[in-house]
Amino acid sequence: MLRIEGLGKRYPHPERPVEVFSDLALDVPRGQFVSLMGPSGEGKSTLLHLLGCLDRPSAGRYWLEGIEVSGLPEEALAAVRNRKIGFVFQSSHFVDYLDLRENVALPGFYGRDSDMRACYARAGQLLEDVGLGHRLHHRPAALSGGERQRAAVARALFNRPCLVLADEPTGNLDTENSRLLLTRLRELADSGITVVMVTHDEQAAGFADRVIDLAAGELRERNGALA
Amino acid sequence: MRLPELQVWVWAWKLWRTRATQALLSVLGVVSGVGGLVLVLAVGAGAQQEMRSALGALGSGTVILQADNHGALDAARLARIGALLPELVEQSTGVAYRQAEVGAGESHPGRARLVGVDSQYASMFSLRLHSGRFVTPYDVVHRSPVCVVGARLGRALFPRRQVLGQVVQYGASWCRVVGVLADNRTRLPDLEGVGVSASDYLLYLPVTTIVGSGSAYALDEITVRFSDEAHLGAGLDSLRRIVERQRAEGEIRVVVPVEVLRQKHRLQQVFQYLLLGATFVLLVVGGTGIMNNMMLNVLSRRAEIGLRRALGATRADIIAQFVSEAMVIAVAGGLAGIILGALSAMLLGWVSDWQTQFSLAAGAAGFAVSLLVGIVFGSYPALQAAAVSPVRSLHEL
Repeated sequence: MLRIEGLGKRYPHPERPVEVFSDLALDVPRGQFVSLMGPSGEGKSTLLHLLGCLDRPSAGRYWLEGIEVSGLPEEALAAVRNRKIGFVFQSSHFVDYLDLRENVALPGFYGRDSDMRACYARAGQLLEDVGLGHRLHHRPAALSGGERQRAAVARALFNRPCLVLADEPTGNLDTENSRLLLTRLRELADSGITVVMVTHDEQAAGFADRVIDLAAGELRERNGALA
Repeated sequence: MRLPELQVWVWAWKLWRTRATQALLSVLGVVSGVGGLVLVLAVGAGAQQEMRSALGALGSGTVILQADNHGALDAARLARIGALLPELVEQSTGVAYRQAEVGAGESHPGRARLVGVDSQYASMFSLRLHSGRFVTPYDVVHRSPVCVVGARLGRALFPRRQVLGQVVQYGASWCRVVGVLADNRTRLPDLEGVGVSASDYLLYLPVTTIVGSGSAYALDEITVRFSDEAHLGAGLDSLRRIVERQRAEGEIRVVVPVEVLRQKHRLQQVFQYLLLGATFVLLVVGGTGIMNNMMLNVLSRRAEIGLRRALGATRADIIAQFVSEAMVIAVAGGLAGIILGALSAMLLGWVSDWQTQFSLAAGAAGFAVSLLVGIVFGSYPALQAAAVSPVRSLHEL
């Protein structure tokens, strides 16, 4: 479902380009929950951005559902992000002047094939599913951290993606809300959606099928083998 | 309803609803700029309308002789002018003015201007009758005690009654109303100061009825209409020679209403150019205000831009969104400016003798200019927003 080969990322610098990592390889089958761990600064978020088509690799190739996306033009990458990938960020950012239902419906609007009424209906249903049906017309600022993360999951699922990328999703949550969120991610994986989660929390990583460390520029399985 | 055509406008509206003070402060320049533009156009349209009405009512070849002293003009002179310039003069009429208290029964609206006229007057000044008839040659010869009232004076004298056939008292005399003028406020411009009065609040009587009979009764004005404006030059020279010969009997002023109007309009044009310059400056300042606001918006909303990009927005979507936001406040400012300009035009019309006319075209021009300001000054910040790297902005989350 998700495959990378020889993936590398280098940032330009006036003196010498900064290489974050190089020659990474990874294969994740459909419906697998992968936890990406490792020390800070090793490039976990950078790798997540590459997997999320938010950035382009400096080297290597990336296939998503059999389509090589690493060479796609900007417009096509935007469509891939919209159609195939759902994001859950650490601080679950929302557009502050739109209500919760409008925020969750944003991927539908950028999908261009949905009319407004249908988008709102789906957003309302997704929010009902995560127990926020009573908060449809509330501003995001009025929500608690746990509610915001549940809403972020609802938004990530709007376009029925094949891949959900989560960057430290439990970083700002208490134990109970963390457990609820991780359970939800686990359910998504069980339903056939591939989940890749960056985390520093070993307990959170325990919900995954597979834990991979990114350290010293290499991806290693928890059992020590190269991924 | 699809993106980005309509939804971006809804978002833009919601954005500014939550940042109303910021929006208000950034559009003040556009409000005053568009207001100024609408005022300029209203003054211009009013001037043109006034000129058209004046030309329609008086003709471009009209000259008015005004007597500064009683006796400088009389009926004999009026007849002589017609006889001396038969090939040039199309029409001529003599007028005498008086002031008197007017009343009818228990209604006493106060002083009104009495205008002694002959039968030519109505056609020369394009007066329209609402009902009845105007002064006839018979009335002038026989000094008939009849009168024609202006529309507004008629309403003041007989607020709840039929005006025609009623008796009006002026000073110690009386007359029977044989005609009522149509409301002329939209037809004949107020040409006070150029020899013609607004006909709304006037009482017209046969000239002989108020100044006496005979062949040489005194007149205050003689109005001569030459066959067209091309004959005006030659006719004016002849008139001036005739006037020079009369100098011993008193001063006579020669007034060409169209020339006076043109001078007035030249002054209005200078005002228009000055206002247009100020308007341009205000629009640039207003646009800069919007651009400044939008630049701050781009900086403070980098995280939102990153989020939208992550959710599938393309650079074009971001540009459309930010340009729409700039256009929404510019157009809101423009609409406020149109209202301000229309009110200013009305106020100017009230406090001065300038005729102003707000038109839909002026409103449309104001709207178009505000739209343009939004596009021009919103584009650069929008391009900046589209250039924001989604990865970098997501680090700010």
